[in-house]
Amino acid sequence: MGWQGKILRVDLSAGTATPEPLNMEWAEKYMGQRGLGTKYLFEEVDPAVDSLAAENKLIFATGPLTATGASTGGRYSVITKGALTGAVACSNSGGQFGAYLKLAGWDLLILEGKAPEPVYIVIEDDDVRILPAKDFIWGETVWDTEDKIHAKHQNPNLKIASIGIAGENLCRFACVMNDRDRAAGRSGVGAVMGSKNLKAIAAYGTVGTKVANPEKFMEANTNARGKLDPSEPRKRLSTIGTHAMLDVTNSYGSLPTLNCRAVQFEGSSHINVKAAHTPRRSDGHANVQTNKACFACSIGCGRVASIAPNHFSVKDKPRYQTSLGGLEYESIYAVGPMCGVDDIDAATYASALCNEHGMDPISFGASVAAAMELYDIGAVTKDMTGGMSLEFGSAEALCWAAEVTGTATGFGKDIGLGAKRLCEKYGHPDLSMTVKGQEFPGYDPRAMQGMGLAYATSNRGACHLRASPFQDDFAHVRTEGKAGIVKKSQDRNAAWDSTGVCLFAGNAWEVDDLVAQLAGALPGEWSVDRFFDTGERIWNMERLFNLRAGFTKADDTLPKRVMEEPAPSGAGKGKVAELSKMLPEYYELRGWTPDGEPTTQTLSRLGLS
Amino acid sequence: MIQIGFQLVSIDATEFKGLGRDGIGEIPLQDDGSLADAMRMIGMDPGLGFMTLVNGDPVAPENRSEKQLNDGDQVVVFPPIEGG
Ligand code: SF4
Repeated sequence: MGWQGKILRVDLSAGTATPEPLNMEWAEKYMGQRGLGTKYLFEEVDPAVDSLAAENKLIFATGPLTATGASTGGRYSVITKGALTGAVACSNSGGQFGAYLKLAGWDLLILEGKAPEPVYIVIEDDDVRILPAKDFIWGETVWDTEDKIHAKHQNPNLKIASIGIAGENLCRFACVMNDRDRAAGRSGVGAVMGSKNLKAIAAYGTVGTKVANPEKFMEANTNARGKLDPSEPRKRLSTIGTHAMLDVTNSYGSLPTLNCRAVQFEGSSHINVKAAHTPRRSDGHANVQTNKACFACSIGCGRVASIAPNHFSVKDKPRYQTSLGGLEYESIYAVGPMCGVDDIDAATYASALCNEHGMDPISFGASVAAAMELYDIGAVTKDMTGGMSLEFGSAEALCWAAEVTGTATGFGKDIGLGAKRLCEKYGHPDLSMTVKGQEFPGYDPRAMQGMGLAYATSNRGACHLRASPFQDDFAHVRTEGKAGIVKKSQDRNAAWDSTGVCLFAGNAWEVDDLVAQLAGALPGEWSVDRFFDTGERIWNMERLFNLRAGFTKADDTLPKRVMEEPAPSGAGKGKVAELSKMLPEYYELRGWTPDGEPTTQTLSRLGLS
Repeated sequence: MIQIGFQLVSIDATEFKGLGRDGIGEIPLQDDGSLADAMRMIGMDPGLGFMTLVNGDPVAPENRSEKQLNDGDQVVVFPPIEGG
């Protein structure tokens, strides 16, 4: 019926794995993935707990449309209290792993406690084994971990989610990686996994999935595919990928550059889509080799890339002179313009190391940018970096930073604290371009005021996926109307992220197209109104978690730089992020008090009392 | 007549007239021509959801007919892409 009706609870302290029935009342109210996983977190974890303590839980949650055959329906989320932020964290990933966890018969996997020694888990349908990782894969990279598990278990079909060396060493922005290059990337969910001494989860399933009304589901699914497959956005994401956004934000003047000192990057033509598709002089190949897709996806926005074999980063390193996960907009923004680096091979290498060691490239790049600014003003010196000059624009420094951060070596441990803790440690907290401790994605809030509000109010810290104010932001540099756009799209995205389907399908689908598929897959009546109500309920539950964790209205803010230093160029030239003009209206639309707390009426309306 | 600089960003230029393969070019426009007129000149429907900048300033779709262009103005057009 969309849901499998089963969750797997693994107590890592006790070394036990126990199946439980899914709470169907919660499933109907929170759907799956982000919503349902957060509901379990909300009910089972004290929000005040230290995110790296054994009392925190790590929840892998699939959605009701995961592995049903819905287009892009292979998603899962990792939900926990984030190691980077201390706020509610939910990181969404594609690839194959989530679909196979569901195909093994599980809606959710709840991991609690802490293993006394490093372990990994193998799930093959109902057969669940907790196995020692020490002297096997502990200390290995993500890529070697996958290879070793496949070889040992003689099952190349096992789909694997794991942490790299960064997660083992509690790098605050460590990811959970799956299928080599896909990431549940943000908020430090990989550090939480590392704190539990859990290296990897390997899943393979043959149980299959069922939908409530197969005929209705297939009709909705066929219609939705018929809309998505020939669409312009699908074609664009497939051919030029999200990387195309770089030219857009650079033209517009909303491309965070040099740790947000600038909003346009003069070196962008060296690292944009055109550069990535142009054959190199050295070997005649282009950076981008082809695209790739996640489970059941006809878009294929992922990139496969190669680095020029004579580039300094990969010289004498055959491991990297092959096909690697390629650049996407968020990774190229962060390791490119944000650090002032215009070397596409260095950017590809740094991004590949993020995959190999399991780090979020957004937080990594923005933390390196913060370190570069600290170096620029003399707060960090060569003595501290072990002799590396961390100058803005240095491709060598970027590649070095990826190596030392990924392996938690020397100054890399400081970069691995994330920009907020790093800048606090070196006495310049204002240089951290973060919200609630999480680094900015690739949109400067001075030209994109709606995005500024979205960052400030995002429950997991600065994020470009929690709301979608793009269209209005690219049409108007203004504050009017943004509160409503941000609120509505936050609710939409919260519900969308709870289905098992990729947000990118929303470039071609209306909400109706997704709701029609839910109505075929799930029992009961599903409507657009119910979808938005569910999203609003999820958003408010996340907010309650954060309030109980100690966050307040004061945390709904942006870095001083974008609030006080006007954009030097572009569409937002002379403007700062005017949060105070949008936030009161946003709270009012949400049904929150002027202090940003949901009123009793709002909680009762949403069934959260 | 006035001359308007045009640049298509992340848009397949082969679908439109009067620009190079890289989406960059100059088009002639009548003296009192608007941004909507200029978009029509290259075969682009001004009502489409493309985003437009004139000399770096955004012009919303509903204002394209009123936005009068001057000789040498630079128009940038990009698609309404989301996320990344
Ligand atoms: S659109 Fe991209 S991220 Fe989404 S499911 Fe498809 S390939 Fe994966």
